Amino acid sequence: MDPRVERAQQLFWEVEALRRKGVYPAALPRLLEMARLHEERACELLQAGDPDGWTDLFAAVTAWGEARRRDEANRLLTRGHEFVVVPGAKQAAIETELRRLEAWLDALPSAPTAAVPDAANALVEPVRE
Amino acid sequence: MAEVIALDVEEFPQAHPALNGPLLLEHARVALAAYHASPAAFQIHRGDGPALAAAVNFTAPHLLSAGTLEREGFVEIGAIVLAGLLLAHFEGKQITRVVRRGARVDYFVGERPGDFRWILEVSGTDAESFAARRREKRQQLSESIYHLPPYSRDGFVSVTRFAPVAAAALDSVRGVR
Repeated sequence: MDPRVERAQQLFWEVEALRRKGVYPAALPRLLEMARLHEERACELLQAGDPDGWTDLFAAVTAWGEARRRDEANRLLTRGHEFVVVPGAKQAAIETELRRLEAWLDALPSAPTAAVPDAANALVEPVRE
Repeated sequence: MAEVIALDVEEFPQAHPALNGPLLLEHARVALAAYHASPAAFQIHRGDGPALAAAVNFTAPHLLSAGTLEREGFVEIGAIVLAGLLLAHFEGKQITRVVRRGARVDYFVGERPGDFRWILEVSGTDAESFAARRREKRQQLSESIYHLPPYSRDGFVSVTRFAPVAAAALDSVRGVR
């Protein structure tokens, strides 16, 4: 198995544990590592025409966003839009998802400042079903 | 007399090597121990078929564990563990990947690590309506980007209610082609 998937999975659960405790500073380096791993894999797969790369691209944009690196998230979203125009790609569903992610980024609380466990500083809670 | 299915929470890490199983175990124990002593009696639902009886074995959680998080957190993770036990028991499958997509969390299922051919929607509750939650989650799965082309992945919906009458469901849903 791709070791990046394994590592990203390990980071996912570590970040989740920190999210439940509302600890942003400790999660930040993990989010950044996760974003880079997902982005690398996403670009590799999408360049090879493998649609599974979208899973990593969505995850990378999410991690950049949660790390409050909006510029990185935007850069990757732009890259995503470029991948969508590849012939054969199912444009509509992917474009819709990229727009949803953009809206999600827009709605994120402003950049956290220090280790203050307030709402703006906490990791964003996912939709809990 | 109908056979009682034996499920063991402690077997979750071996059945799902791609996940951080030991990290999730204690959550499941706490979720169960709020209402049950081991083995916990569960009704198991698969699609529209008749309910099956199951005995869910688990080790008692540490006395202090329940106070470390809000109850919701234990129920959510506990539901993932129960879903994993049902997937392994009935389908011979494992949860192979969990990733975030904006506000959503996507679960992937396969027959071995690195296999992401199916998707999974999971939900847990203490005492809310089990049937309504199953319907909601099926709907949610049907709207998943991975359920639609170009992926068209088949999937599973798993819902667990921990309060008596405790119940867990594993439903199959075919991808849109």
